[in-house]
Amino acid sequence: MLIADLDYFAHKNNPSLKPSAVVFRLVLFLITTILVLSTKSLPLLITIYGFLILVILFCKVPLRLTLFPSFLPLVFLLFFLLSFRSLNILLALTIILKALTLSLSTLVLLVFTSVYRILAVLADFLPPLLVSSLWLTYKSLFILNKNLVSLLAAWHFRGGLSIKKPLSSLKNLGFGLGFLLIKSLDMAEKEYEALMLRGYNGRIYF
Amino acid sequence: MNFDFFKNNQYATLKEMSHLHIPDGVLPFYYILFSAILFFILGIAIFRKPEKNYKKLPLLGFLSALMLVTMSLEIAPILYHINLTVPAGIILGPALSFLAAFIVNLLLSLFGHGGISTIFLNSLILSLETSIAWLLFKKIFKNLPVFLRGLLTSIIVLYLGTAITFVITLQAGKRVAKNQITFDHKEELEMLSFDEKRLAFLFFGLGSVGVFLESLLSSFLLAYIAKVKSEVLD
Amino acid sequence: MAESTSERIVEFSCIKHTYFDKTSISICGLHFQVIRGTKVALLGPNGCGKTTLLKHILGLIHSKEGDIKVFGVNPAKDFAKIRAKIGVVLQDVDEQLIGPTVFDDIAFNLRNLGFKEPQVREKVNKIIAEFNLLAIKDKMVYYLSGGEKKKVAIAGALVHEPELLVLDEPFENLDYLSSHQIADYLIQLNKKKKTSIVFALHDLHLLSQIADFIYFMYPGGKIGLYGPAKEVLEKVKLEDYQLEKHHI
Repeated sequence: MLIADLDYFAHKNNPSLKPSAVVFRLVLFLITTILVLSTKSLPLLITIYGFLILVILFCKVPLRLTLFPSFLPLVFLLFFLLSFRSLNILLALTIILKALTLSLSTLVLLVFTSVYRILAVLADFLPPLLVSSLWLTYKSLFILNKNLVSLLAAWHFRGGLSIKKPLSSLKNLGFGLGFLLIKSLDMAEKEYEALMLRGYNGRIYF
Repeated sequence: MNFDFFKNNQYATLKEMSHLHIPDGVLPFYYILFSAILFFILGIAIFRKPEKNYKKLPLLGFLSALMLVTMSLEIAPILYHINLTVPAGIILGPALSFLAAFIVNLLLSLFGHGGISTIFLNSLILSLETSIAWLLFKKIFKNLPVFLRGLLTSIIVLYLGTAITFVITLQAGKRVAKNQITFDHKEELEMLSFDEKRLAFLFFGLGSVGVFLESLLSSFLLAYIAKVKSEVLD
Repeated sequence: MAESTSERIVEFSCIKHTYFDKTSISICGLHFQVIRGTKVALLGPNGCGKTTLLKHILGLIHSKEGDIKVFGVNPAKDFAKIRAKIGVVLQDVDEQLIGPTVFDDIAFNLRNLGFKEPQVREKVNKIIAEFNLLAIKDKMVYYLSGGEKKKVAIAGALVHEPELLVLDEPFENLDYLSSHQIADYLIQLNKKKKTSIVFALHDLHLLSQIADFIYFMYPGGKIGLYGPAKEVLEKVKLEDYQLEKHHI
């Protein structure tokens, strides 16, 4: 799971990051976002995008964690651009680069600064309910990913999914996901019990 | 582990159409501003007493995470991604699914899916979908068998989301077309080159495959839950 | 160890709970009590109601019939009054570990109880040293192995020096050395600070080392045997684990 890989890379390479460093990175990210969103200048976009690529290459960050996933928005982008009968090539490039630059900048932020560190800094400014929700969701990702891998293994070993039987496969897929959903409900109930037993008062402490 | 049927594809190609994925930087600024203001107003109104939601926080966390984790499953070769919006909306209800929509979209955009400037708009649309799913499933279609309930709910909700996405993408397309006029200084004003019919075909034509699959999947999932733990759907 | 007539911190006679799936468990039979300073084990086959009993003690489920008292209050109604006195380790630790890092998780209870940060650091660092968790102090909880998670959960339950420890399968996933180290720690804790312990455990060897008294529960929730650990273990037979013997 990409999220898990990014988190692991960020922790492994930056085990202790000062809050001031996190703030600096967030401010840089914010400036980049505003610049990219507001500009129409293709040279500027190329410069920012090129800079991000250089950072990735210089710091030897795996491309599978940053560059490749950043191409995701291209799909919908292509549908959007294909809907134009005629489009100026420079304008098309501008639109493409805007999307890709923003996508890449978020991944570069996260590959160096884990979600935990970002939340730790923002926890004092965001509503506690939102911080708790974000943290509990993030934490649950890792638990559920483990369960999903087990489910995939079960499908693999026990069959039930085959392209030759689409309807039956879809049914088994639905049932498997239903099982995962019910398991999530049970885990949520236990987590709530743990929160109450441990005196949760609306705040997660970082 | 290497599983043949599923490519645990991190580099997803086709996204489920009910999510707003117009490129960053093409929406008019007032779309972003108004959606953010509306989002915050709704958020404050819904969660003015946060302590009332403590009990459901773990549920919110797990279901949001489940939506994210299952999105990593790609049903090859049709390149369609599983999305549990409808079941999650039915279980969480309108208030919590509002927050879940934001969390899911925030994490998706942070992890390279794009749409960082459309987070609030996307969250509003997704929470509208989940709220309508809840309403249809629990109130309007409540007398129907679970499978049929799930199917109708999913189809209506997913097409609704697609329609909203289409309308907003159309606005973005027209804006870009106008930009082309000012950018190039050569195009004639009447030559707005954004093809609505082509966009409509992409959304409703190709998108219908996704709607159909997603609806069937959600229905089977809900039928399973009804069999195993029916109180969840009450 | 002779049973003293001192304070009963947990007691009930017959309690009943019905789960969502209509499964009803009546925990009846012998009167259940935990005397302050003792270590009481729950033993019995799978599904006999050990976890249900522990959940009653923790106030997680209400009893439809009967009355349970923990430190003199009904835990289902007034758990907040006794929270500071109780430390808990649940069977599934994944859901129990809340804090982002090991340090944060162990500190979670203390911070919620209102301890000042310097005190929190002192107590947490102390227990981290005692449990040999220094190497993973700043590690994210979701990267820990099953055994490490269990150790962290136990440390988190002990950090606020509770008077009563409630443990549901505390040694599951732990290796031989870790299990015995923690078992020794619990025995010492009980000796020095008179911490009472109620726990459900399948490992008979560890159980015989730790427990002062054992309650044996038959299938269906009946508390059938009680007494000093050694005596009960000698009395319990394999057929006591069978459903048929108790017409269930």
